[in-house]
Amino acid sequence: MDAILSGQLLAAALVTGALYALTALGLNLVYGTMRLLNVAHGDLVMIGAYVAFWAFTLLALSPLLSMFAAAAIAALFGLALYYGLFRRLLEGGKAAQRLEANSLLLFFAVSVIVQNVAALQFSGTPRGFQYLGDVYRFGNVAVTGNRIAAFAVAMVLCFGIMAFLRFHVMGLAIKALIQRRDAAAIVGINVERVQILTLCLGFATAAVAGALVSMTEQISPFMGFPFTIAAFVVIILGGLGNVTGGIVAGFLLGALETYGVALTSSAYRSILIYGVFVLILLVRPQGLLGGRRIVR
Amino acid sequence: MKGTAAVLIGLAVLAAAVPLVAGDYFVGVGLSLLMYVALTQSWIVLSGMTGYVSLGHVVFYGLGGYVAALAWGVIPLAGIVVFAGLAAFVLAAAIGLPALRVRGPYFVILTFGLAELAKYVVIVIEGWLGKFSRVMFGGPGLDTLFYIMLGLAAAATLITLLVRRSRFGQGLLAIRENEEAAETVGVPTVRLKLLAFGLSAIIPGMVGSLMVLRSTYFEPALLFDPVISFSIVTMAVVGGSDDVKGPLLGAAGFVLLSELLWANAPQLYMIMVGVLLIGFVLFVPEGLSGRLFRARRSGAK
Amino acid sequence: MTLLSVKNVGKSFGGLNALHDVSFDVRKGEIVGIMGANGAGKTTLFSLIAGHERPSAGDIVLAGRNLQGLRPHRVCRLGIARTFQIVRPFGGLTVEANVATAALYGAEPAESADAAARRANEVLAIVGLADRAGDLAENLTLSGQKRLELARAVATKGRLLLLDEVMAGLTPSEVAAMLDVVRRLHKEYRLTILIIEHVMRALMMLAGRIIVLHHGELIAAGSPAEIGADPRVHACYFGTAPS
Repeated sequence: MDAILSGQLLAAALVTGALYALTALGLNLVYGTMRLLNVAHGDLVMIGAYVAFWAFTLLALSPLLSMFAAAAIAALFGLALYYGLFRRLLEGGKAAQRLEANSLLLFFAVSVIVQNVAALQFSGTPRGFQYLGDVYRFGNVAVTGNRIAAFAVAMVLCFGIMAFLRFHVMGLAIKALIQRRDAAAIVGINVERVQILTLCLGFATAAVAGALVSMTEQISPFMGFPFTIAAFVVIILGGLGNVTGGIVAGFLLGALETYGVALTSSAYRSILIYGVFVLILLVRPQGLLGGRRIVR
Repeated sequence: MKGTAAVLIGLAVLAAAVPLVAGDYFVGVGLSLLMYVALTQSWIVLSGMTGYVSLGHVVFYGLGGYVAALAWGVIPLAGIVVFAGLAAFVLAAAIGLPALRVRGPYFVILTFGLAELAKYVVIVIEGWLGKFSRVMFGGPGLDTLFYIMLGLAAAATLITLLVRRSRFGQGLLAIRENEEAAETVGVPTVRLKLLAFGLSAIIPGMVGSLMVLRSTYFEPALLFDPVISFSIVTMAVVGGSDDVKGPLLGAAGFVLLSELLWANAPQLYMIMVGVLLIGFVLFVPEGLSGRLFRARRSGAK
Repeated sequence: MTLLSVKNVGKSFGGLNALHDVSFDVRKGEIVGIMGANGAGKTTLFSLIAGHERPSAGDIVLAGRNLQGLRPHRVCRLGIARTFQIVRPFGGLTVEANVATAALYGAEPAESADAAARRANEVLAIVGLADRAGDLAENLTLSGQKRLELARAVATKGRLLLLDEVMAGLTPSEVAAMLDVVRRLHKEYRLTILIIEHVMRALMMLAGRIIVLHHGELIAAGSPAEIGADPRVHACYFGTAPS
């Protein structure tokens, strides 16, 4: 019994962790380069999920293909937000600077608008679809094909982005921007272009995560919130702006949640996530794995 | 100043006349209006004046409601309202000390997280107690609730007014403008922030207890609704948080909007709320009261 | 009478030794200058005295009272006021409100809002900001904000004033004006002043005594003339002996 439980749980923890890591990766990049806490991040996951859902339902398109469309749509949305909102904040008029919290309020407003537009369009009832539902057995562990696919894609993306950050010139520019914004500009990096790219990348990865999630879970207009919170927990745990830390933390949270819920019950899932969230913010806002000091 | 007092008293008198001349529907709308005035004025004592923006103020409202649900039938109404306020104050004092060390946007998401955490904790507790909702029979009538709420709205407005003109309020403004510098000129920042936090919690707690008795129904997920936190913040931003007129304008505007939209299209209401928040934060940060009355941004008395 | 006594004070941040075994006294009414290259530990010293940081070693005693571990607002209550190297005005408040707040809370809190306003306007007159009293602090020029910073510190009625590079960023004529303001404040309010300054001319003219910090250690102390001739100081600043 124990053996099965732990193998099965491990598989579940890995899948959840991979999806959390991917979702948080986008948030981390956006925060790292622009210091903006996008609380609408989870709603991008929702958008990606709905794109995949409609593509599958209407066009019989596999989520593994429609995720590219989801990514594109999210990137376009990011562009629109950048020119409409972010730009103004980053330039920082007196109003934006007086209360940093104002930027957060803006993102909350965007989140509310996105969720309610979706609810208006798609109605609030949860939907789902079946894809790659065949079960594969590895010893005592049974996993559905869609979960394996989700894990694989998420991992490929995470490592792909990490490689990009390390080896590609643009990736290096992003890292430079994360580390020292003012210095990056001085050495000739086109800050605005890098920011736009990062934003689109961040939004796109969230949407892809959403497409992957839609294979394994039901979707609804308000499904984004828990992902936003989870993403925040992950990036704070891993250190704000610390991409590697974020990936590790994603798996940590996936494990914490999976094993935690197994030991107690699903009613405690929210308490667990919000509890960790609050605790980290209170105790060490700069993150457990990261060492950067937050300007208090 | 005399002018403001006269206007406020006049409004209060007008409000008091409502149950006498209007039917239940209008009294109900008036109740919502007074509720949001009370909530927003209290919120301003903390978030408007110290700059520590709370996006989780519903936690005090919800706690007050829970107190009422638990104590109904055991303690008389007056006791419940007082106790609800007290419980909210204690909660604020308890979480205030660690929470107020967190600054800026982190404080905002922290308060949001705290409110959600409280909600799920109460859900779990109710689960242990075997209750998924509670019903309260024999509650006070609508008119009674209206008058008590009028009292709370008046009290909250008065508190905000007094705090603004006090040395305490001056210290809070200094904290908002530059916390390090405030400490350097002798402002006991930790103590003042905590006091503001506690003060901002009391009336929301009392309001929560009344609203639970109004609906005669308690369910944690409904009571600890983040939409309430969000609405408070939006009313303060749109109405303006730099003087007492702001929340009045903000609450009036939103209650009007929600009466028009909520029943038929709650999503549309929320979308408008979001759009208004964005518009005002970006373009009219001083709010309607700031723009209309050219309120000078100063702390000088 | 010794107002401030710094005894064997040291401060390390992790592995970095910012200050090591620094000792000196400040007598009531003196103006003591603090000199040193960037990174010498001057602002750290101020942070320690004002209570923003705790010393890793040593004691700081104000009029017989050990300041160990006291928070900045308590240190202010005991009579120490400071300005910041990068100004920190209460931007959204008026100039008068900025100073009145200090008067309401400082070392000698004013009894009423009116009394605070009166004190504020007195100080503002001396620093030359009386005509800007109703303006928002964030709308002042740098020179104005520096004078506001000064006025705010003085309005606390603290006996000991810590000035951190008040002349930085000012034009020569503004420096001259600021020199004048500092002298007047020193006289009007019978202040004791500790002043960090890079503008040598100003420091030499204001200070009765100067101490020199280098890599966190106190390497010289004496009158401006003595310091000007001290070979160790020359070695640190110019790398040569005085001619």
